[in-house]
Amino acid sequence: MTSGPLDRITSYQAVMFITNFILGAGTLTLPRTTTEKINTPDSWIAVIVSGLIISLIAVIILKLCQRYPNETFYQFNQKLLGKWVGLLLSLTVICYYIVLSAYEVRTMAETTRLFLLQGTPTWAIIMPFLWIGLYLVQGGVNAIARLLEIIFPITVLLFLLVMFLGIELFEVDNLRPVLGSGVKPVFKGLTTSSLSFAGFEILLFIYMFMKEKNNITKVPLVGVGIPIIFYTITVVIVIGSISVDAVVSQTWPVLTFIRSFEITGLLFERFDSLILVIWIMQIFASYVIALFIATLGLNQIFPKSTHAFIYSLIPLIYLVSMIPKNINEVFKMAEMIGNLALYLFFIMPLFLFIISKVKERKYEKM
Amino acid sequence: MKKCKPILINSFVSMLLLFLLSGCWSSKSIEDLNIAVGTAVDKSKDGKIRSTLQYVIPKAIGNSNSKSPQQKAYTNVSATGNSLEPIGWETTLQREGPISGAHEKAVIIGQNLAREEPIREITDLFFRDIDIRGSTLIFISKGEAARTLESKEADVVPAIRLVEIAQQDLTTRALKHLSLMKIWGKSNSQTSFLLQLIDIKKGEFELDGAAVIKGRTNKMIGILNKEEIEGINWITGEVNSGAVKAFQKESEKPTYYQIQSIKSKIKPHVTGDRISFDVKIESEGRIAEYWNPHFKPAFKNKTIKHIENAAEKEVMRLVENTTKKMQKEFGVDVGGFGTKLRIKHPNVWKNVKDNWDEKFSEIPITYDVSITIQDYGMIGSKKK
Repeated sequence: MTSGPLDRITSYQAVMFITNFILGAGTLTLPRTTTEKINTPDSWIAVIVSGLIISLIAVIILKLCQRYPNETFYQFNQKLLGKWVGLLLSLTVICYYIVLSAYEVRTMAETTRLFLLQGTPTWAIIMPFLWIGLYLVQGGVNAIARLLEIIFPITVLLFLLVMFLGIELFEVDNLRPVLGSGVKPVFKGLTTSSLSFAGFEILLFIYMFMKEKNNITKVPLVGVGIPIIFYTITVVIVIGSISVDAVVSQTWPVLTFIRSFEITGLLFERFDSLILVIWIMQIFASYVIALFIATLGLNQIFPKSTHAFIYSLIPLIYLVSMIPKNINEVFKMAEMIGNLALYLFFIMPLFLFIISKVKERKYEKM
Repeated sequence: MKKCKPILINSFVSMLLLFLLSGCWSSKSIEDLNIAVGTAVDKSKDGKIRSTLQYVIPKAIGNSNSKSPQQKAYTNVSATGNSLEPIGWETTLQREGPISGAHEKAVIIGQNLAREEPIREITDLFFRDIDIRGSTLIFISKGEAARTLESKEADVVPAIRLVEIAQQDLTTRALKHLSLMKIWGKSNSQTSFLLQLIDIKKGEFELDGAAVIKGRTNKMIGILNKEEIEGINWITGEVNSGAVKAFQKESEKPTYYQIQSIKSKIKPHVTGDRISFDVKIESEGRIAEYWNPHFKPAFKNKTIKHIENAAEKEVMRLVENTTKKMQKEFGVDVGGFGTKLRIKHPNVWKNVKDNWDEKFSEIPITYDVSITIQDYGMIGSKKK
């Protein structure tokens, strides 16, 4: 991975980065996590509203990056916050991405062990995943971008196909009444549904690699817009099919939904493995991007060989991913990551943006 | 020599990789699996639970006409225990091979057990299991559930036949088929609901009405017969085919109206503390059988109107009969009235939902049935 001028990605590839990074491990539990807090069928409204808020933050992040067109977050935060605070922040962010990639890997292993490879030990599922990721990250930002371009259309196609095949189960009554208890419950759910968009902050790190640097407001908008559509479809169809009361009790609501119907007469009767396949691809994308950002950070902070960092991160990620002892601890880990993300990427960019504005004014006065 | 070295190494590594390709870590060969398609759960004589698993024998399905016509397409194993999990392991002591639940089609619960234990608890294993799918259908058996998994006919797997019959939803005299996933939400929100009831007649099973499951206890409290199920289907409009009697006077019989569509709209009204329901039922169809003893020509609209009227009266009788049964005898709402109230008046619903079934039994419901006969088939009139 070189951060030289040769590594350039197009605007479309940047959109792929945002979208694929957002769509990760959280999707399978999304209907439950949002509905738990809201307890009415209005989760989909919360998803849309929080998505719009997130697009706004993503645009702010873009504006922030445009002030430092040839630097990543790891480099320009030192200019804004001073050397030591910036360094500390960078290290926190790197830790966040290491834990995030470990979580992605672990969730993938949990569901694969449950639904696809029942007797396979967890380490045997995780290791090939980690190694292939390592290989890809060595290829740098361009290789990752090309992979994302390949898997995204497959995801869209299969996801929509499977979701709409289950339409037979759909009952509008399960989604009504709309806003029956007013808007208050929707506000309660906004935090959790916003957290499902974690990943939108990726522009902080890849903006440097982008070919076009101006007039690209549509990149964060489209990048967040696609997950909004995905999430809304998921929440609407799953809750509409198995009702609010059932969704809150299901460990993996989306998988429950997919396992609740069979299509006879088609080539395939069951579609669980299809959805798991595209979902594993999405997790892989999230994991690779997180690993990439972590190594990029280490590389930019400590001027050492990139390969050394990638190779040392892999065992670390494996160890972190094995920390949770059971599924409850995995969910707890997700919650922890969410809370950290809330401070790191929802509040901090706004803060940095304000600082940069203030500094700008100071210079103007001088 | 030096030139071909990388090629040699590469091909050696590739050949090693071939071993990794060759199969699954924990594969089980399909011949050894006991593919369970049905489970019957009964109360055993000593008060425990008796569960019967039905395995298909794929060998016997394909070649029934060849050597062994006597061989049945299925085999049942059963054992007794405190709950379903230990029973499952117990059966592995009787028959070789692991149990595979991935093709489970039907769960049948005996009436005796369903009246004593909550449905949600009996079926917990089916919801929790990773292999068993939410699309598995659920039934209650009038008698012993294990007997519904038997058939005298060769080449028939009773559990699969049962599911096929249930899924066709052909007549209003049977309830719309219910999968495990559909009752999970209802059980969790303490809503009362109906489950299809099976009875054994001359050794073969038959769908015969429905079991009433009370929301609060999640236990079976009674039975609705086929005629009362007709009423339910007219109220909910879920099953859209079948026939209905279309004569009132004995001298005019028999005349039958064939249903092509049923549309029903339940409208809740709230004024102050009083809740009431208006149900508007509309149906379109044709005259399917009209012996016509009085030789009235169907070409005349007057005749059509007369028959429509008679059918409307019959439907009215059906729905009112069912309503009386729901409100007065069982005191449960299984017609979906609560759902409509929840949607239209969410704030009122919040106050009444905790004892909705009791409240429901005192709520006035008015019906309005309108039937439209679109045609009368190939015969328009008969001559004396």
